[in-house]
Amino acid sequence: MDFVSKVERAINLAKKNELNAFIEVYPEAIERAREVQKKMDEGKAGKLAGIIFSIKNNIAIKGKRLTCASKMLSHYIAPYNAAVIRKLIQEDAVIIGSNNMDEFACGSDGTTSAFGPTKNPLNPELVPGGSSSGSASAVGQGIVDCSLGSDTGGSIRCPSAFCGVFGFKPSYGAVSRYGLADMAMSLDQIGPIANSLDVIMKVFEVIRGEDENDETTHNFSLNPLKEVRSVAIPREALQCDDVIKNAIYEAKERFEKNGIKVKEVDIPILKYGIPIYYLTVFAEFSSAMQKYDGLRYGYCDDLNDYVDGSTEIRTKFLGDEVKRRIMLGTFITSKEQKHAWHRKALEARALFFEKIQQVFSSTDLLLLPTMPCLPWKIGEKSDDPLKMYLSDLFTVIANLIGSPAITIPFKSMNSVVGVQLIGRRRDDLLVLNAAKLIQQQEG
Amino acid sequence: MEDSKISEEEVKRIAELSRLKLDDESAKKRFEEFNEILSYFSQIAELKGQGRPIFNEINAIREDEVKEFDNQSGIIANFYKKQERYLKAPKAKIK
Repeated sequence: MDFVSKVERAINLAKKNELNAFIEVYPEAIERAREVQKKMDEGKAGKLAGIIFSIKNNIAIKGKRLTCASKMLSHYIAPYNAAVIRKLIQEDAVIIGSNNMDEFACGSDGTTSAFGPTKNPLNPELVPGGSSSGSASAVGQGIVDCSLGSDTGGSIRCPSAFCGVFGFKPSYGAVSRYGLADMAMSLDQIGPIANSLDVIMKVFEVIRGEDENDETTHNFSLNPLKEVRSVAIPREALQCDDVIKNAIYEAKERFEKNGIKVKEVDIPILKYGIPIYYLTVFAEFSSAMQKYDGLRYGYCDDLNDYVDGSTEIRTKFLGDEVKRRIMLGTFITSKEQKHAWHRKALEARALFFEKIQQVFSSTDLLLLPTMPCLPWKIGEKSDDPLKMYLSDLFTVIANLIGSPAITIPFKSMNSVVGVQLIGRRRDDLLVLNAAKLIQQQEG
Repeated sequence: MEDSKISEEEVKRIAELSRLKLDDESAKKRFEEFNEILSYFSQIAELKGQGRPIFNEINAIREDEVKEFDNQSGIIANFYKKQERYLKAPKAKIK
């Protein structure tokens, strides 16, 4: 099939939207595909020519709806391109639509979207994971080759693991977040989800780099690629489903076959990851959400009073999980709490970072499951927020320490599970190359 | 942090500060939910000692230069109520 027909097929499948992975489809992508095809024929095409993309709907594409899967932004049109979108277009990427997600990226299973839950391509009764649920589902269905997602505590890697695809969260500072609707700014990162490591690497190469509009990228450079010498499995992470443990042991063998030592280590502080992560998220998220007041965004009908009007709009247009996080964030940062919760979380995060740095002084990579469990039924955890939070145990680690992390799909006992590698901050190339070393052969 | 439990009154006050309406039934539900979450999270009090601050190198400050945004009409188009090129806002009463 030629490229233009492939894009046509992708647009048609996205329009059908059987698994609710798309919020909007861009039919004009077909024109763009013809232009790119022409460039390819002339040998003048950019690095991403021939790759079909969709984009999580919290990343701005100029002139397109930027909904964050919330009623609050259901009609908001982005007035500019995110830095990553500008780079994709420059390199001749074709973008066919925007992906469904958990509302404002708050969720771990794709069920909090105001546009309805996304479904898992491996089994539509199961959750696809979140919050980049539509991104991973669209890639898993083979509709697109790549989708950009965002990852604050696992939002790229969790759905990638559940949908059986690759998902990469780069180091904090490696990719500009200009144009990403922020969830928690000390943790957020944009990254690719794809069916192959080659696509992940190509896309990362294009989207990374300094951007004057995101100061975390200033003076940030990646470490040059080195060989992997040693890998460590945290014993705490082996308390998981047998299907998942089995995949970790297979990954271990693959490293060992390549002459790389794999040892088991104890990292007792890992169990504090969830409280440290969520307390940080609540504080940063409640602050980020203050701008959604029905005036600059949304529709404030009550022109008598600003406070009453915005209270009305926020109550009506924000979903349950978003409200939960705003309220908990307001509580822990309130004057009455004297910042006790937030300060303790910041101190604990620094300690968490230091303990894991100690592990990285004698090992290049952590090898562990992406998710501690297999995907659950849609709706099963929706009424139990704490249970939902706990499923992020192994993904929050990389965000808390600013590290690169990848999830690799592994077939294991009739299931597909995610095997995760976490490297030192700036060791993105090492992480990607190690993934290449242990990935299972196609077929 | 030992007195970590949030009261039902505090839940209502927090909702108000968050600009969210909460009826009595929802306040009760949130009260139970928040206590369960915060009780679990209070385990970080067990962590003794402090680490060095992370990411201190990213505190970059750029020059305070005015740059014209190239799509002002794109921003204004999103205003629900406007007068010419201005966002029309209600009064904020002091209660």
